[in-house]
Amino acid sequence: MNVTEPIIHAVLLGTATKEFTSNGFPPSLEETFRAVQKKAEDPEAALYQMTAFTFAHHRAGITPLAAGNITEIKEATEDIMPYFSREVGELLTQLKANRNRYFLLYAYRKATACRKLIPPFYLRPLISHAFDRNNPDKQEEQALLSALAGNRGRWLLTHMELPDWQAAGNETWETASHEERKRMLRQRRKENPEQGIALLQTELKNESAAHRDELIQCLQIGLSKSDEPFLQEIISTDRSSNVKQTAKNLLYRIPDSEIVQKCCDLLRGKLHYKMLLGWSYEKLEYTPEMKRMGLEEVSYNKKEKDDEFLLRQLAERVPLSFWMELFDCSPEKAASKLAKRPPFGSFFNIGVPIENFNDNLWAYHTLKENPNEGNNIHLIKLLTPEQREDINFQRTNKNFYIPDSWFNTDGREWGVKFSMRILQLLIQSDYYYYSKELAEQLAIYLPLELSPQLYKYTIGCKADHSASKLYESLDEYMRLKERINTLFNDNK
Amino acid sequence: MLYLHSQTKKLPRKSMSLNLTEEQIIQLAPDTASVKAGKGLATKAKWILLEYNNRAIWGHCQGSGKTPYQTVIDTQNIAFKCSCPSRKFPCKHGLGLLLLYAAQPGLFKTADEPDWVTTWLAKREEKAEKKEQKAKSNTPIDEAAQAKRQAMRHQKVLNGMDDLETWMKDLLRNGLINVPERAYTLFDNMARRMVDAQAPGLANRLKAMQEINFYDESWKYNLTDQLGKLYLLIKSYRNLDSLTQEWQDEIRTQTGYPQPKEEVLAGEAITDHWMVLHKRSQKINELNTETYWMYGQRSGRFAIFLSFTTPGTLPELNLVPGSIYKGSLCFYKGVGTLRALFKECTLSQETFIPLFCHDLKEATALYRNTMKLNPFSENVPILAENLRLTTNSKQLYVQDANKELIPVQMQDTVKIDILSITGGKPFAAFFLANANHWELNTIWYQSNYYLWRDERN
Repeated sequence: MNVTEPIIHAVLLGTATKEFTSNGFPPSLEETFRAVQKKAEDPEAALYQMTAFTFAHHRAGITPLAAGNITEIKEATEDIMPYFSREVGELLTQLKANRNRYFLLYAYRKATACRKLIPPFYLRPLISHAFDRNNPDKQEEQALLSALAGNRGRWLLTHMELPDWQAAGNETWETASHEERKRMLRQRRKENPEQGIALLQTELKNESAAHRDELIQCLQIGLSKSDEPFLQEIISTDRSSNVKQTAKNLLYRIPDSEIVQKCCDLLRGKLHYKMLLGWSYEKLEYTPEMKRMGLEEVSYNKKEKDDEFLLRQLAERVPLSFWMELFDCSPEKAASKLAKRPPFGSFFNIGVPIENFNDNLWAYHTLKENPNEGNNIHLIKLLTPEQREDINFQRTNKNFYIPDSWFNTDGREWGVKFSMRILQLLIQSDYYYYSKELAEQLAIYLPLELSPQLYKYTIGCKADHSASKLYESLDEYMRLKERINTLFNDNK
Repeated sequence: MLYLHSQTKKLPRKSMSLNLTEEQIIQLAPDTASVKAGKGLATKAKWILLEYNNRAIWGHCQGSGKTPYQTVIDTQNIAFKCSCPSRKFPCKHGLGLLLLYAAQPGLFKTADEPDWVTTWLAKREEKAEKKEQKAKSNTPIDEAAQAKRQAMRHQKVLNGMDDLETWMKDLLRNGLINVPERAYTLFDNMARRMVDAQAPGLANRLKAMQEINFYDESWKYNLTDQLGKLYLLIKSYRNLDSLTQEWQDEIRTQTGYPQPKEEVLAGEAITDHWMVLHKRSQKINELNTETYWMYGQRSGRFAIFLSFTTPGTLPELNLVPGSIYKGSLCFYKGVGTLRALFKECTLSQETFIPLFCHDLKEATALYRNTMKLNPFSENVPILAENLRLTTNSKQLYVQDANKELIPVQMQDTVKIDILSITGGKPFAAFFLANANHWELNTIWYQSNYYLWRDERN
């Protein structure tokens, strides 16, 4: 027993009700206590003095403890791969501290190509961030960091009470939460779409309608003809109309699906195009089958004829191959012709089928032909950075903003021409607030060749202009990007 | 947050004429928000005018209004002035201007002072002159009056101690079990009474009791221990005449009598290479207090250097942890006292690794000896090597090669950082030892020095 405990016990209870007895202490202390008690004017004075003596006695006798039920920490396995310089570690922790989420991922991607490890000294904050439940990029960060943390990082995970890298991505479908299931399904669809269907079939019936709907939406990734039987089954057996509609929408996204082919068959021979006279339409009777297909009979727009409305709905559901057949030409020409002279005038939205079939070629030729059409601008997301260079779009909209979908998921840089157009549009815009995140995201996609031009913009921009802050941030982030590139190129 | 210092370190980046590092400038800021805002303004794009001469730097910062803010910094004796309406001092404009000057002095043009700068500098000079004249005109010390003042203070302290003793006895009579629920107000009044009694040392001890973590089981130990020490101090002060000169100095210092700087510097100086082992930052009564623990290469002595600054002022000496300074230290009078003042000090390029205790037996012996010498000692500095971290449920320990243990205290993040650095292998460490646990904030691993920030605000 610690020598201080009886004293602590006594002072906690107080001297008013119980007198302190100095028994059970080491002989030297007991002797001192007796002397103190004799001389002290009251019990409180005596107890305070005895307290001071006891604690001093305790401190003057401290020795190390013997190892009892101690859990020794095993040493980490040594890493064979070399470490990055300290500068890299500092940069990564600084990006994390400054909440530069896009640049952190950018730097991680660059780092993985160097085949080196992050110095152990910097691992803790980076691992904590990668496992932070509020971090929207945690999955990607974990995947990248697992390759950069080495054995030390894996060893550290156990001490941080975190799951292993692989365990974090390998939950079983049965025990995973809904969000995790969606993530797993998306991943599986990317790697092997058929396995994704098999995974989905296991417990789909036990899910709620809302969850079923969200899981089926994940099939958009890697969607193909082979998914048709499963989607058909959903349409015929599922209890929820929302789920059925989602499955039907997915079927409409498969160019060679039965339902799309049916649309082509119905439309075939009903549309005629003549160079001089333009488009002419034949009447099509509305049938119960069309109702089942999700087509409507009467247009919401009073200016649109109902007969043409029915045909338009079908036209917005057919792939480019239909128009190739109609115009009897190559896909490029068909896309150009359709963009130049679309049927049904302004009612026809060409962006609907292009987005629906995710058709890159169709989008490219449509935009090339008609880049400034308001509805087409969203199709830019379907183009590769090289294709975007050829699109000469000019916007007059003062409230221009960059849609999130334009930031291609592969992270590849945009071309100079496209980037310049974006910058010019931003400076013409009256949009009042640009977030710092947008500047960070933009800086990743803008090529470094634009840095001098950006600096010119920053200097030239009036301080009170809405874009001045954005340009300042962009200029700063471009320098950061250059630093990251140099650092990782030097470390290769 | 942590620092890393290799033994082959570089000197901090300094500007050409001001000799201020970014970290030093940051220390001038009233809060972290100002630092962030100041850094945001440390770009050329924000400033319409950037000029300097040998007395000051000044600039025009474009704010949200039409008229730019006029910001000026006295570079000879750091001080700020800005026309912005901010109540913070220094404001973000002042900090931004100074940070920009420290980072890119080339952006500033030499120019004649504009009127608003000259007026402000003239006012400052006028004030400084008045202060100097006042200091010069001080009449010689009247020893009789001084003795009278001292006697009066002694009496005041004794009276205060009488009140304190009565209060302490009342507290003990009722028992300490109910203290946690009253702790917020219990010590406050008595601490104020001690300030009135000109015994700030006792007041600080009472404030320290108020700050005990009463949610932790260890409060019983800590409160009993501190009350015991306080009572011992009262008794010792009453018996001051019967003590040796060394102990008289110690007890007077503990009670709160200051030792004049001149007297300390007049004492024997120890010249050595002093390594800054650890730095603790605290804000006490709106005063920034930096405590540096140092170790002398030749003497093997530990020393503590305290630096006090008010917000917006720079410390006389800003020591960088992990660095080595060549200089003479004069120690305060007392028993085994560590507090010292620099007589002279220059940053040294030399490096060395301090001498460590080889195991915990040796380290605890050192602790015991310190406690035997002066039972009022706290945070005893100890250096030990060949240690590993071990755990027993939530309690952390350091274990030596003989498998003996000492409980240690550190933040969870520090623990993970240490494991991350060492990979579970042995390391050397600097501890601030107390009876229940030793605090660890500094380690050496493979001749690299690692320090974790110790900020208690």
